[in-house]
Order: sequence, then structure tokens, then C-alpha cells
Amino acid sequence: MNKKNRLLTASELFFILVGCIIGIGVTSLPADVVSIAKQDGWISTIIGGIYPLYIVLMGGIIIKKYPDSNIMNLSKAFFGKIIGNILNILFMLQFLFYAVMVISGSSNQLRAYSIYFIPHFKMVMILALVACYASIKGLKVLARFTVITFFLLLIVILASTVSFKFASMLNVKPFLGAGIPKILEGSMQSSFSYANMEILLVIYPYVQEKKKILKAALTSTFVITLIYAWIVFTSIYFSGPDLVPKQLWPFSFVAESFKIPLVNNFRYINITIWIIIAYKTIAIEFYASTKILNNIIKVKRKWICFLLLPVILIFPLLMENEVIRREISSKVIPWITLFNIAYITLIALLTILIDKNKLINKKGEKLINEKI
Amino acid sequence: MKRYSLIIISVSCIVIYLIFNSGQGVVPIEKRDIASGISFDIDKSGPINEYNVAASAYTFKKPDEISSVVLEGIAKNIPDTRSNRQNVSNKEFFLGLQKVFIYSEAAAKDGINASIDILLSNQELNDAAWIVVCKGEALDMLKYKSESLPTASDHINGLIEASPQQNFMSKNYKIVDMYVRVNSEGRDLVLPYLEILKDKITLTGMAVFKKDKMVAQIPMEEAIYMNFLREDKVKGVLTLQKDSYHYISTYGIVKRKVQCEKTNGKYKFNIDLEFKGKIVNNTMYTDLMGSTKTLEEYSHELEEQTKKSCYEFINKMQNVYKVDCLELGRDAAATFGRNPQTDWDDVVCNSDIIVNVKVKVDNLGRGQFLFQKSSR
Repeated sequence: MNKKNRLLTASELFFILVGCIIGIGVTSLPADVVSIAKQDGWISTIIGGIYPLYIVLMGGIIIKKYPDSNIMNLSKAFFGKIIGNILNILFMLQFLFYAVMVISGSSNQLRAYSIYFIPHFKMVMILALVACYASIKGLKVLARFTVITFFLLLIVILASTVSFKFASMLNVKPFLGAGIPKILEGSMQSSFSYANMEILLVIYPYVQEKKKILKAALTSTFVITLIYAWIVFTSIYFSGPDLVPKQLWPFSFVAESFKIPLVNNFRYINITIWIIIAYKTIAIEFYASTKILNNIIKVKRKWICFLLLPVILIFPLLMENEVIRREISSKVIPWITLFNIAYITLIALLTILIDKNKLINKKGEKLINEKI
Repeated sequence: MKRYSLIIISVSCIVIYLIFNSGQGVVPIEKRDIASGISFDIDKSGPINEYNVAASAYTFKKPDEISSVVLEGIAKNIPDTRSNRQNVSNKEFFLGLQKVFIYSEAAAKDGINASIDILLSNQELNDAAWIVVCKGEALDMLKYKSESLPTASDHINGLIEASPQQNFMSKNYKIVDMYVRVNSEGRDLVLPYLEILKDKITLTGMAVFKKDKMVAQIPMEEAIYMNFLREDKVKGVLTLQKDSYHYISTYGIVKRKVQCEKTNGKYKFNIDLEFKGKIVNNTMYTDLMGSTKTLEEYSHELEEQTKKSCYEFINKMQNVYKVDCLELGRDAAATFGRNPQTDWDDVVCNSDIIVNVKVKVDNLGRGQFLFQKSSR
């Protein structure tokens, strides 16, 4: 395979970004948002889309000035090698953390819904191994994988429209009835589920058409916001604001509600699709963390995958219970989000302030090497 | 490289098989108790309530012959009845294909929150099963022998499935409907009420719930008007009768729209109903087929009579049952904002409810046997 084939097209970047953010966690998103913003949860979700939009716009500044670098190199150049690497390790840990969260969450949900006879550690093992294998294969393979899963996701989303026959618009009324403060509070909650847009800053140098990067990223933000809002809206529309917070995975409840001739219940189709979607999310997150670590310690990425594999094998085992998992994630994710906002804003500001040509080390070499 | 990958793939296949072989093989259908219906009974005579949750399960003895057996479980709470039920059964219990859940009137009056929770958390459950309330012991209903079908649950399943053809019954008596209605703001559950009359399971009315407790049993004559006012797009017959020999009936579908107003803290509801249907029997107007005037007169008279009956029901609902069985609170909550503290039952019972009925005859069938050309 030559170098040109390994580069991503702009549309593949779009699919990777959508695939990285939308995971199996969206089935539980309505419960978190609706418990605060009631029937206006879907409005909160739209407002929460500001977070990925902000990341994309900040990323746009960085991409414009350094189209061939990435955030790891920039932070090393701006802050020096030691501080830069510490920040990079923190940046890496978040992807690893999300991978662990998604693995344990998927295992918990799948065991709750259909494969309850398979114990947790077996589920974790298979999820981690397959995700590791996929991420070894590299970005291009992942990109193709996400194209498939995007359309699978659309099947689930489209199928949920069938439930519109059974419920009533009265469930989502009155609009803005929960009050603006509650809606904003809910949008804070929903913004946490928009995490992982940061991957754009890791993978953008691999995109072939540099000018289309920002457009693809903005489109993906829009599509993700739309899908999230739709998921929350259908859940409220179907169950009503009183029932949604009582369930662990409200969106799965919607998908289960209708009967299809021959298959009878949509549950098993639904679960099969969600498994594939979960794999893809874990694989991309794992890819991102290995890529960042690869930048810090110069070892072949394949070996780094094996090095980090124990992490995503062992930590999910500690979160066998969904309640524990949610408590951990609700405590850690706000800090991650704050760190991301601060880190990326800082890098973007420094990009504007520091002149590109002044960044040379003692030997006179350019610190930001244009070729990766 | 290719040789290696072949080895790797085959080894990993074996490993995956070993890991995922959970030891649970395929259990033949003869070794499972496939529940077709569950009954909930309660005995409140002792110091602590005693629940009797019975399941009727299919038994497969000969090919093409299905019979059933009723397994009882008695315990101090619902999950413990599972253990007791297993003690009398020689097969594995399997829930998931059940068709109907039957509550005895006593169990429904005691509150169904506990049983809703056990159903909601059970992932094996099929949410499309029917829920009904019955007079007396639910166990007797489950033990009823149907002539053509293997279990009583199959019979009740058919009965409820066919009920929307008449009496303005809706299809919203499933488990999933129970989840979204009970404890939701402005909503109230109503369920079909069954009795065994003359050795036949009969739908004799509707059971009305407030929160999770049954508060009233409405006989079918009244329930027709409750359904008429409550449901959207349901079918039934409206009859205008003067005496034994002069009456006219229309079978049609009713569409419902609710508008809600609030003045000085008092709510006012407008229920707009449009009844559209076909005249099925007419011995009252001899010139109906030829005169639009008579048709209008008939529509008007039916509107007035239906309105009268509707107001009668609303009056009784507000003063006797004291529950919002028309789910008007839902519309009010959707218009004026939700507030979990509001008792919508109370609000609706103290508000003005105005019913507007519009009758449209769109079909006269094949003809009119008693037709006489009008002299007018």
C-alpha cells in the first residue's frame, strides 16, 4: 500500500468523527438529560452541541496554520518537551478512559438486554481484543469500518420512527416548559456525551484534502447533534418525561416496542447493530490513545497497542455494575471536559500568538516537523 | 505469512468457542414451562399480605396436541412466588411468550406498583402482553377451560385483541401502555374488566386506576361513553331509540381533539368529537335515503343524545369516581406546563368540561328496506 492510499478522504473523516462520538452510550443519554430538563431534554441536547462545535472551531484555527502537524507536536513545541508530554499523556488518558467506559458500558447493556448468560469478563475480553485488533490495522481500515457502521446506525434511527404511530405529541409539550435554567443545566449534562471530538486534532494530518477538513468536521458536528436530539426526542415522545428517567437505557425501550413480521421483536436486530457500533467506538478511541502514546515514546504503534491492551482488559472488569460505572463517569467526565476546553483553547491561542518561524531549537531545526 | 494466519484463525476459533460455550445448551420445548398467562391474587386476611402468583404453562404430550397446566406459587412477596412455583414444576420456567397478565380485583385495588417494577426490570419479558382485571380470583380465570384453545390466556388474548371492533375499545391495554400511564403526569390507566358469566369469560366493563390503585369498576354501558370520550380513532355503535320498533344505529369511528383553557386558575376543557360512520339499521326514518333534510335531522338528534349521555358520564366521573379517566390532565399539563405536585384528578373533577359531538353519516349501506318517498 502506498502512502497516498493510506490518507483519508474528507468524507471518511466525517464518518470517523461521527463514529467516534456516537457509541452505545446514546441509548442511556435520554435518561441523564430528561431527569434534569424534563420534556425539553431534546432542546438541551441541541444546546449541548455547542461543545463539539467549539472544539471544531478551535481546531480550525490550529489546522489552518499547521495543516501537517498535530496537537501532540504543537504542545511539545509550545510548552517544551517535558510539560508538553505531560499534557499529551493526560490527553491520551482521556481516550483510554472513554474506551474503558464504553467497553464496560456495552458489556453491561448487552448482558442486561440479550446475552445475560455470558459473564462480564468474557464480554470484556472479546470487546477489548477485537477493538485492539481493529486499531492495529490503522486509520484507513477504521475509516472504512465507520462508513458501514454509520449506515447501521441510520437503520436503528429510522426504525425508531415507527414508534411515532403509537405515542403522542402531548408527551413533549409544552416546549420550553421546564424553564431556561433547567434546560441549560441539562445541556451541560448532555455536552459530556459529545466527548471525543478532540480526536480531530490527532488525525487531521492524515486527511488528503486539507481545505475540506473544517467543512467535514462541521458537518459531522451538525449530524451528531441532529442524531442526539432525535434520540432524546423519540425517547420522550414515546415514553413521556416521567418514564424516561426510570430506565437505564430509554432508547432501547423505544426500539423494542414494535413488532416486525417474522422477526417478532426488533430487540435482537437492535442489539446486534449496537454491538458493531460499540466495537467501532472502542477501536477508534483505542487507536487515538495509542497514536498519542506513539508520539510520546517512539515505539512501533503495534507494540503500543499490546502495551495498552491490559488497561482496557482489566479496568472494565472493575465496573461490572452499571451503577458504579455511571458514578465513576459522572465524577471524571466533567474534569476531562474542562481539561479539553482549557488545553485546546490554550494551543489555539498560542497558535495565533507565536510566529511559526520562531519555533526552532538550538540546533536550528524547526521544532514542528512538517512531515509526520 | 498465509500459513501462519490460517493457524491463528483456527486457534482463535477454538479459543472463542471454549470461552463462549456457556454450558447452556439448547433445551427442548418439552422440558420448558412456557408461560402463556400469569395471574396475580392477594390475600390480605393475615398480618402480612400473601401473594398467589400462578402461571398457566403449555404442556406438549403428543405431537399436535397442546394442553396446559396451572402452576401456583404462594409467598409473602411476588419474587418469592417464583421459587414456590418451581417447587411444584418438573420443568424449567420460561417467561417471554406470555400473552396476558390477570389481576384480581383485590390485587389491583391493593396497588400494582410492585408488579410493574418486577415486569419492567425483567429483560426477558415481552412488552406486548395484555393486562386485564377480573372479578373474584384471578386463578379461577386462569383455570377456565377454553373449548377451542389450549389455555384460558389464549382465549383472553383473542378476546382483548378483537375488542376494538366494538364498544369504542382501544388497543392500549398492553404492558407497555401500563408503564407509560401509571405514575405519569395527568395520565390514568384503564384496563378491561372481565368476569365469568354463564361459564363464559365476558368483558363486563372497565377498571379505572388512580396512580397504581384501582378505584372504580365502570359497567360496560357507561364505559362505552368513557371510551368514546377518552380514546382517539376507536370504533363502535351509537343508537337512537324511541321504542322497541323505532330506532336507528350507526357504526363508525370517532376522532377526538381536546382544547384546554385556563381562566383565573380554573380549567375549562373542550372535547371535540367527530363521529363518522355508516348507518347499519334504521327503522325510525322512512325517508332517510331520499332526503338530506332527514339526514341532517338525524345527525342533529344523535349529536344531542350522545352529548347528553357524555355529560351524564362526566357528571358521574366528577362526583362519584373522582378520577380523571379521560386523561384531560395530560392535555392541560401539555398546554400549561408540567408540575409533579399538581393533582390532575382533582383539577379535572372541579373543572368545566364541554363536549362537542359532530355526527357525519358517510355511508348508508346497500339500501333501506323500509324506504318510502317523502311526502315533504
